[in-house]
Order: sequence, then C-alpha cells, then structure tokens
Amino acid sequence: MIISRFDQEITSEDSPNSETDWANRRSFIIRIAAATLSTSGFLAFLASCTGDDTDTIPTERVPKPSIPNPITELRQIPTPALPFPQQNIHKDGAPEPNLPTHPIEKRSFNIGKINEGAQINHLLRRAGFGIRPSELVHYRQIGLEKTLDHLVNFETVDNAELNSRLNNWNLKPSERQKDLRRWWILRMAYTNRPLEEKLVLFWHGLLTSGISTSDPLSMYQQNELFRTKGYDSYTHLLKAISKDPAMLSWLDSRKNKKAAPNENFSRELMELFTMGEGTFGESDVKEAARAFTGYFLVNGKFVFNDAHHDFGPKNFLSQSGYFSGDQIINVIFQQTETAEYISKKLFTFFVHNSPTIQTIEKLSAILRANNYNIKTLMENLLSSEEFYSPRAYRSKIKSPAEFTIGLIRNTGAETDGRKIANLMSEMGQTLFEPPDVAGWPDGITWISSYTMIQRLNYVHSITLSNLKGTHFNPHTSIVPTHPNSPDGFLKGCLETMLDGNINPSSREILMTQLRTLENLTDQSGEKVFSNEEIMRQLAFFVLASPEFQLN
Amino acid sequence: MLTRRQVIKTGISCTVAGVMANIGLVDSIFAAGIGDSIPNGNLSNRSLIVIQLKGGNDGLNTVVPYGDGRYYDARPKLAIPEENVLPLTSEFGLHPSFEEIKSLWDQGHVAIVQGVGYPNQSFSHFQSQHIWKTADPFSQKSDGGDGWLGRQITNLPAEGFNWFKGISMGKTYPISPMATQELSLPAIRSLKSYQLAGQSERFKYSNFDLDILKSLYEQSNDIDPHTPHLNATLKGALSTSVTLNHSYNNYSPLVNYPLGNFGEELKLLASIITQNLGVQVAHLTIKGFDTHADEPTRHSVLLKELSEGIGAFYEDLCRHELDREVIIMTWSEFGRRVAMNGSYGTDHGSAGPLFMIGTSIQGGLYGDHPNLGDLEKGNLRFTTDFRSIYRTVLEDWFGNSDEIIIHQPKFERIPMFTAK
Repeated sequence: MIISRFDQEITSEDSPNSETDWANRRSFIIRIAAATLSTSGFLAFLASCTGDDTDTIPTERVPKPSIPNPITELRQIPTPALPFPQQNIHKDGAPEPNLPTHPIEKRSFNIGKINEGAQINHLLRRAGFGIRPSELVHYRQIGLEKTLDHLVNFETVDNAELNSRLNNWNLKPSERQKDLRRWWILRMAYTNRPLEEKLVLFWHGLLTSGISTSDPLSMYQQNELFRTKGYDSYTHLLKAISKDPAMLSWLDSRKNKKAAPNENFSRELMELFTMGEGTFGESDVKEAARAFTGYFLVNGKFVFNDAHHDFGPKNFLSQSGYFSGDQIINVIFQQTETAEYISKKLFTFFVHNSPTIQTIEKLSAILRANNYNIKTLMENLLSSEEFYSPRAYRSKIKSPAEFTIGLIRNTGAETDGRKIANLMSEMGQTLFEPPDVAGWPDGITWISSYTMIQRLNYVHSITLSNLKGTHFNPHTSIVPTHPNSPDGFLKGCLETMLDGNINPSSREILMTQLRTLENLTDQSGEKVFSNEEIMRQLAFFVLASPEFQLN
Repeated sequence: MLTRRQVIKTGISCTVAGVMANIGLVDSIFAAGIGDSIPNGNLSNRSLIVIQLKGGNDGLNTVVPYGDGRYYDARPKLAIPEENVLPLTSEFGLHPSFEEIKSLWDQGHVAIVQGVGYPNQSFSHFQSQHIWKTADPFSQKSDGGDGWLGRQITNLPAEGFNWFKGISMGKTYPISPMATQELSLPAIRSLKSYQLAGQSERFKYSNFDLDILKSLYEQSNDIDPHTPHLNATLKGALSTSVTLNHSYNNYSPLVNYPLGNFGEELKLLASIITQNLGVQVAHLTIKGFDTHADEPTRHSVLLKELSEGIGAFYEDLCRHELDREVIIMTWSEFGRRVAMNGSYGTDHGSAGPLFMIGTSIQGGLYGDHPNLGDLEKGNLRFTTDFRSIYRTVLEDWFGNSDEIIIHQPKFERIPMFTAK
C-alpha cells in the first residue's frame, strides 16, 4: 500500500505536462519569476501568488514577544513542546498568556510550495545529510509532521546500528587522525540521529579548533562535547569550550599569564562565538583577557593556575566586578547581541542567508527566554514557515560534508569511509581543520573551478564504483518502482536525490539520454549498454546536476 | 642544473635573463630615455602576483628596527638580536629567515614600503582582510563586495574573454581580493587533479557526454540564485582544465622549489605563467601568521617558507626570461602589537611593511617607519595608506586608472618601478 502511494506519485510525473505536477511547476514558475523580476518585484510576485508566504502574514498574528529579562524571568517560562499554530494562537490573534509565542510563523502542514515529499527531503537535507532510499517510503507515510518530530527528538532514537558498524571497523578515533575523520564520516553517513551530527558539524564550524594545533584525543573529546552538550544550553557549552583542551591550543591559551594576558581567546570569544564584530571595544578585549588568565593546559588537560590568574576588578561591557572567566561568559550572555548573533548563525546555517531583523529578534527572544536552549530553537526553526519557503528551498550550496555524505545517504551506497575524508578535503573542507578561527565560509565560495571538478569526479567515481571501499549497486541501492528498469530507476533517483523537483527541460534531457542509451545497438544488433550500465550513467547525471549541488 | 641556492649566491640567472630581455625589447631600451618612471613593454603581458600573509604578519620582526633600543625594550624575549639581523641599513634589517629576499634586495629588486595601514585600524582579522580586499575602510564584511583585483580584472579591456586573467592558487578563494561576482575565476590547487573524469584516459568510462552535463547546467542557469555561478564555474573548469592539461608538458621548472604547499603552488603558477596564457593577476595565501604564542619558532618557519618560495619563483621566471613582466606583492591584514604578550607571542596590531619584488621594481625602503616613541594604545601609527600602493600598481604597472577600482580620495603614488 505504501509502495503504491509512491508508485502513484511517480507515475503522475510520467508526463511532464500532467496537471498533477502543479506543485513542482508552481515552484518552477516562482523560481523563473525570481530570475526575471527584480528583487522587490519578486517579493511582490510571491505575495500575490502564495498566500502563505511569511512576508504576507498579518503582523498581529505573530505578536512580537517582549524580550524577557534573563535574570528575573529565566526559568519562569517553560520550554515549549513542539506546538502547532492552533495551540498557541488565540482565536482573536492574541497569544496565550504565559506561553511563549513562536518566533516565526509555523508552517501549516497541509500547504506548501513544494509537495510534502519534497519538504521531507528538504528537511532531512538541512537537519541532516539527506534522505536514504530505505527511509523514503516510511517518512512519506508518516508525513512531514511526524518526521520532524522524530528528527528533533533524536535523544530517544536508537543508534545501535551505527554503533555496531563502528565497532566492526575497529577504529581508534582518539588515537589516529585518519581514524578520527573516518569515524565522524561514518557517523554522519549511517546515524539514525542526523540532526545530532548536523549540529556537531555546526558547532565545529563555529567553535573552531584544528588538529594541527592539537592532537586526535583533544579533537575527539571536543567532538564528543558537541554531541553531549550541543543540544542543551549554549551558555553551558561555551563555558565548557573555554576550558576545552583543543580550544586552549587553537587560541594560544596553553599558558595564559596575568603578567601579560593573551588576547586571542578573549577577542574571538566575543567576535566570533557570541556577540559579533563591532559590538564590543578594544578595552573589553583586554579586560576579558585578564579574566581568562590562569587558564593553562597541562599534559593535555585544563588546569586553573591561580598564581597566574588576575583576581583584580575588571570593567567589562559597562559592568564592573571581580569577574572570573565563567562570569565574563555570564555577562556576555546577558547581551541581546549574543542571542541575536547565535540566532542568526543557526538561522543562516539551517534556513537561508538573509533573515529579517524581525525574525532574528523573535528567535533571540526565544533563546533568552529558554536559557539559550538549542533544542527549543531548533524545534522552532525547523517547523517555521520560513524553513519551507521558496527563499530557503535550494537556496544554499551543499558544503563538501553535505555533498559527500549526502551522496552516500541518497544512493544508499555502502562505504568504509576510508577515501571520503581526503576527497572532502579536496573540495575545500578538511574535517578537524577549519581554515581559520572563523570556520568555513558558506555559500558560493564552496564552488570554484577546482572544487567543481572534485565534486563531479567524486560523483563519477561512486556511480561507477571505482572508489575504493565504496559500493553503489543500482539494482539494490535505490528503491525503484521497477527494480530492473532504467526508467523506474531514473524516477527513483529523481525522487530521492532531487525531490522529484527538476526543471522540465532538464528532465527532458535525462529522459532523452535514457532512450538514447537504451536504443544504442552495435552492428550485430546487440544492445551496447546493459541495464546496469545505463542506470549508473543516469545516476551520474542526476548526482552531477546543478540541482544536486544545492541544499 | 644549478641549485636554487647556488644561483642566488652567484646571481647569474637574472643578469643573463635581464640582458636577454633587453635584447628582445629594443623599443623598451629606446623608450627608457623618456625618463618615465613607468616601465615599458607590452602592458597586457604583465602579471601581478599577490601573496597574502594571513593572520597578521609581525612587521617589526620582519623588517627589524634594530637601530632602535625601544624595539628591544618592548620585546625582551621576542626581539631579533642585532647580530642575527640581515642588515639593510644602519637602522633596519631583515629577519634571519629572509636569506633569499635579502639576496634579491642586494640585487636591487626589493622595495619595502614601511608603516602601511589605514585610518581606524580594525583589529578583527576578518574585517581587516575585508578592508584590504575591497580597498574600502568604510565597507563592512557583511556587505560583501568585490575585491580590488577582481574589479581590476573586470575592468581590463575585453580583447577576447580569457579565463586565465585572474587565477587563485588553492582550492577555493574565500576572502580574496580576486573575488568578483561577474566572473568565476579559476582556482587551482594541483594540475593532476584538475581534470574532469571522462577527459582523461585515467578514467575508463569515457562514455559520459560532457555536452549533456553542460546542457543540464545551462538549462538551470536562471532557476536558482546560485545556478548562474555553478554554470559559469563549470564552463571555466572545463575550459581551463583542458587548456592546462594540454600545455603543461611544455613547462619544466628550471629551479628546485621548496617542499610544502606554498612551494607547490608557486611551481604550479610558474607552469601556468610560462605558457603565456594571459595571466594578469594571481593570488596565493600562506596562513599561520596569527602568532599569539610561541612566535619565534612559528614566525621563522613561515618567513623561511615565504623567502625560499619567492627566491625560487623569481629565479624560475628569470630563467624563463619572464622576470621583467612579473612583479610580486605581499599583504597582511595588520601588523602586531609592539609589546610582546605572556605567551611568547604578540596580539593584533596595526601598521606593517609591504614587499614589492621584481626586476621591474626599484629596490629600497619607501615611506617612513612608524615612530616607536609615539604609539597609539600600544600600536604603531601607520604612515602610508595601503591604497597608495594599490594605486601605484594599477596606474604604473597596469596603466589603468584607479578611479573605478579605488574610491576617492586619490592616494599618492609611490614611484617604485625602474625606468629601464
């Protein structure tokens, strides 16, 4: 029965002119409009054709919450479960008293500019590394709402399968650099808790450290710290990071002495980890640096050396006190800039690159009301209207991690992870070695002529199974409607890898190529290509397509 | 073959190459009499190699004011002892790692502009890199914007489009003066992996039709915000990889390049420049100059890498008779604090020296060294705005007006090119 539903959806796309394909076409038309109209014209166009776009929501439906005082109201406001619009918006449009309002409009789960299957794929790409062919039918059956529920409540999801895989490889991630990279790659590729790994990747790109300045053990411990503390309070995570061995090495705080404080951590703590450039002064850098004196790294462990700590009074961000390092962090988390900065970082990583000021203000109010709880923020982000809007959909370029791991997950390929770290690195992302303290720059900088070639060659090597240690079997990997038919295979690829959402002329090119390959015969009338060869070539084109580069 | 070191010590290569270049360019000898400070020759053959010292190079330990006691007072354990300095004048000398650059200095090919910076120095790596990139101290990193070299390339007279006008050595170009929205300039890390599967016999499956790939990218060109960039980059990648892999066999390095990323990238760059593919601007990066701790060791290693690389590259150019057509320029987002910190390092500072190297460069010290007795919150006060150097390069080297590329006001040019 489930299969048949999948069947129907695919069949409906058989004819590019079919009316049932309207959702795809609508998205296509919207995107065509984006290309031909000016920005403001495009927004007006969107407003006219999509009644549910965020820009058109009457503001009274989403009252801006007053920003709570973090000191007095911190624990009075309960962490909301994942509610839907009916639960927290009164009939008259006023918020329920004492309930937190939601930062951005919840999506209505029955309307979308892309169909629900595509929304599920989009969700799994952003909040993870892409859907697996084996999951496709299941998630479509339970629907977007339950899929989301499953994703964000990953703490209860069983990951035994991953752990047994990892045990089989007998890796020593805390000892060997190569094993460490493989270990994390295998985690991302085979986890049943994709959001957990995606957040670890987010934290690694924000709270950067590199193996070149530390060692496998420290980097492994830091990676696990992101896993254990990355879905709770950001304040707690940051305090832990300020004493994390890999971080102490990365920002030159192995020996931070009162006599001449090292400013590196103090500056980046504010500029990159919490408040953002331009929100603090040079004197704040110097004062905070004093508070972190006495932080030492001894035999790979954090030690507080009080003989070298500056216990004197500090003037920091217009407050005075005998601040310790942790207290400096407390002061930082009282700043609205911090909540806004982190909200923006999370929004741009998970949703799109140009949130409005209002959206950021709403998100940061939620963060401050919930003791900077990351889970609450993620629940809000991933269920928001903006997350599923055309402005978010395919608006990002897959990072090399998202691209390489996404390909493994989307194709259902089996890999030992051995070769992938180096290929990812050639695409511009070396895990455990960000380019600098600001992490990896996002967006089009991922795509250069060099990295484009690496991406296409990666696709080439996997679809042909030339890549040592990685096996892609087109007969079993994809869930096609007709297992041995290239036609069904192509449709299966388009559904899992491109959300069934590709522009009609590109679909036509692929269909034509399929027919050409099928009809090629040699002089004796024998087919030139076997079905498997045809399927491999089709998978190459789908995965090498521009749409597959997008996230 | 002479080793790189032998050549530098004897100084043979450039004398020979210089003479040959003059023989080849009779009109340039003739034109020298005009007394213009701008070197002659075909402007479109000229290249600028830009090297970023990423992280904030410690200028005071690069060009050492060894004649000034206040330098030694500020850095009791970090200052370069007078006896180790490679002296340029009685006041200034180079870091001992700069052997090759000192040799080029002795030949008159190194210009050092001192105290380079800009008003209201930003102490953020990223904001300051952005300012150097865009040549606009008022621009914010979040605003984005093209790099000054990207604008230069876009402004070049369009005598037929050429992908090689601007190249970045490396995998990507994140914060690069080469950034431009109009072009997807190639980035190249290694030639061996700069070929698409199906273009080479290394890949057994050559059945994939690249035309289908291209048409998939063309079909999507206008659909998503990023697809025009994807489409342009694919075109550039296909075109440049075919050209390079056809022409690479014509190059053989005539010197030994030092091991490591920087040496490899310079060698690759030399292989591209010697093919006369029309490279106008190339950009390279050495990272790791953010020496907050353990500076003596770390800085020495980096400066050695820089000096050895430049020495080898310059000689290779000489031996290919291209040294007159190529100049090298360094930059770094800021210098470092005058006083050392407690971790044997230095924190973010302000002004620093900038190097211009080449046969067409008139060697010497330019600009004033900042006064160590007149600091601003522990930092040097800059004496030359970096845009003076940009303007000099744009006008005197490329013969291009700087008005479109660097916004007003006009900065003073620094006459640092030979009139030969």
